[in-house]
Amino acid sequence: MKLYKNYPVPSDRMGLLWTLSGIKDLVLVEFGPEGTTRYLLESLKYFGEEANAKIFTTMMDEDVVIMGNAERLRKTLVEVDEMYSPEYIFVVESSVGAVIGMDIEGLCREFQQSVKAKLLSVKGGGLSGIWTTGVEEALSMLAEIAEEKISEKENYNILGCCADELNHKAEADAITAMMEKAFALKVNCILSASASIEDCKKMGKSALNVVLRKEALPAAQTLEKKFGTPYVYGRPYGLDGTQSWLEEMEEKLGREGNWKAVNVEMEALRSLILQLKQKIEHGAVRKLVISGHSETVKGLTAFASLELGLPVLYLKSAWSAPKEEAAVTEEEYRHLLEESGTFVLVDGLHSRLADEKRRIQTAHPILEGITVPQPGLMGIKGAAYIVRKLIDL
Amino acid sequence: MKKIAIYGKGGIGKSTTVANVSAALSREGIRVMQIGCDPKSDSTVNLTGGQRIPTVLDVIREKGEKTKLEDITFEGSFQVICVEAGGPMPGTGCAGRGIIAAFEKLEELRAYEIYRPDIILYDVLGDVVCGGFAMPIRNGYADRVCVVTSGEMMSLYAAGNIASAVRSYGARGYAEMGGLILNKKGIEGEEEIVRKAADEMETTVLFTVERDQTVQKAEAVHKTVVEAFPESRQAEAYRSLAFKLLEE
Repeated sequence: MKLYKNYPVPSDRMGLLWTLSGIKDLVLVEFGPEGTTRYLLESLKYFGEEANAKIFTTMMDEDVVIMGNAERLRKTLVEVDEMYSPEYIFVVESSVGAVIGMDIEGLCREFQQSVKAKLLSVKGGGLSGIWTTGVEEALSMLAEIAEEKISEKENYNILGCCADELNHKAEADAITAMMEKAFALKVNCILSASASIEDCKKMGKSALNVVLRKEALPAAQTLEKKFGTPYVYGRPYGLDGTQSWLEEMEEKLGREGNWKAVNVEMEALRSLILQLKQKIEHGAVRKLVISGHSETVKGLTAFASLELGLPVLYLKSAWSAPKEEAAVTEEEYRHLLEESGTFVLVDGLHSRLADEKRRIQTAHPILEGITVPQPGLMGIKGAAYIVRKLIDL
Repeated sequence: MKKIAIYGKGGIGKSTTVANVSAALSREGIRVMQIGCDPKSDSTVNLTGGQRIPTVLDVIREKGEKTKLEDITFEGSFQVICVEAGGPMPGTGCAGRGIIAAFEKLEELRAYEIYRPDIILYDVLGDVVCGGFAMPIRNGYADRVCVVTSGEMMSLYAAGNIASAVRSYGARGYAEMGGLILNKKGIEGEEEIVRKAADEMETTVLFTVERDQTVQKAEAVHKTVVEAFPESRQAEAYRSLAFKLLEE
């Protein structure tokens, strides 16, 4: 066991709730202490977000913990059911419930007859891994509620665009703009940044699922099994990365994209990259330090090293996969910031140490005075933003 | 104030032993508080004429912050102060947390300062299954832990677990092992078996209680042997054990 300077890695419970909280009209009841639900809402604020879902807590006292009295859960469910008449109520267990072995599935079966809404039990006690486990579970649950018997295939879904990632809505905007330009396709459902329960139910009428993170793969596979919808997994970072991503779309959709429209932007990016390469040759930009979610790090590293020819050093953060080993230590990071030609694409906490000219933020938290508005980093426009920042270093 | 926790496998005779020890000491004018730490809440039933007393947890559920000390403490035979922690229905909730909550309530209501017992006897459920059931061992609640056992394998196995729990807390300065109390079941070579087991647990056999029908006869009238048959050999045995515990 090692001691880390970074914030603790969030638990499965947080990933689950961050993901579900993005769905409009979703009704969620947490069977747990008030403070844990409060913490969820507070944590969303650090992401610059508010819950789209309606979130309730039963609150919990010794009567629940010691005696296992679940009557307050039943009462809460009845009240919420009468007040909002939702189609589903997601009933989430808390850490305390998980510790004492509260039978959340059994309770949902027992209380089902007391309410009209369908009760969906969610295990999320915070004891089963890191936040990505919870993200995966939440996305899978949402895919399960997609209804059968929808034959139209007129648009696409984005899966895995969730509140745990910085600027996730801007990234979705970049993708929807590209998809419209290249394929004249409109987005149906963005899981879970911009969707309602009704949108989730209609996910089956899409021609394609665009999967942005591996946690969304089980959801994509469920939709493929249920509706035969193909999916493309990956992120469009950089010029070549975006081109190959679009080519994969073409293959899955079985038709050519409108390259004429896309190429205008690609040419402009190509010329910016040439400009940057001259600066790199002159030593104005020497190396990059990257931290953040593993798929962001992977995509940006490929762009920087393969397309720009820049050396990349990896820095661990609270959003890194647990088994990843850092290439630079915290101390080395500080030294690197003192060197000219170092540019960082890092999480909020590490952003604090670099001046605005030499940094792009890749991951939460949003910090007042540090985090600045920026576009999504995916796609042609995202790549152009990164390249311009590097040129200006 | 002496504080002794009595553990042992379920059904081995802990409550019978503890209630008789309480009665024997109390009869001699020693102020005794007996705290049942078992969700079954039957530790003190033979000190209260078969009447089950309200448990701490039940009273907290009903009265919450308005709970008073007199709501959860009851005077039994020979003025033994009887308390039952209580707990959830089998298969629900968290009995261990229940013990913790009950102990916290007793402290909050200053039960020990107000009654100032000479000895507190904690009668604890079968095995140290989780942190809650280790409460009597921890945090200065008990000074010594005694384990009631017979010569049967499962009973000794439970005793071994309890002894190891006590040892594991040793570095924190909590309760020490006070020895085994052999409650004989009449199996062959029982005393020798238990003595060897005690050696392995690095403890001793503190006392041996012979098997005797007066126990069942007393329980049939919801009394301790000490109360129902004070002149019996068994009552004398419990008196000896009681004073041994007091003096140790």
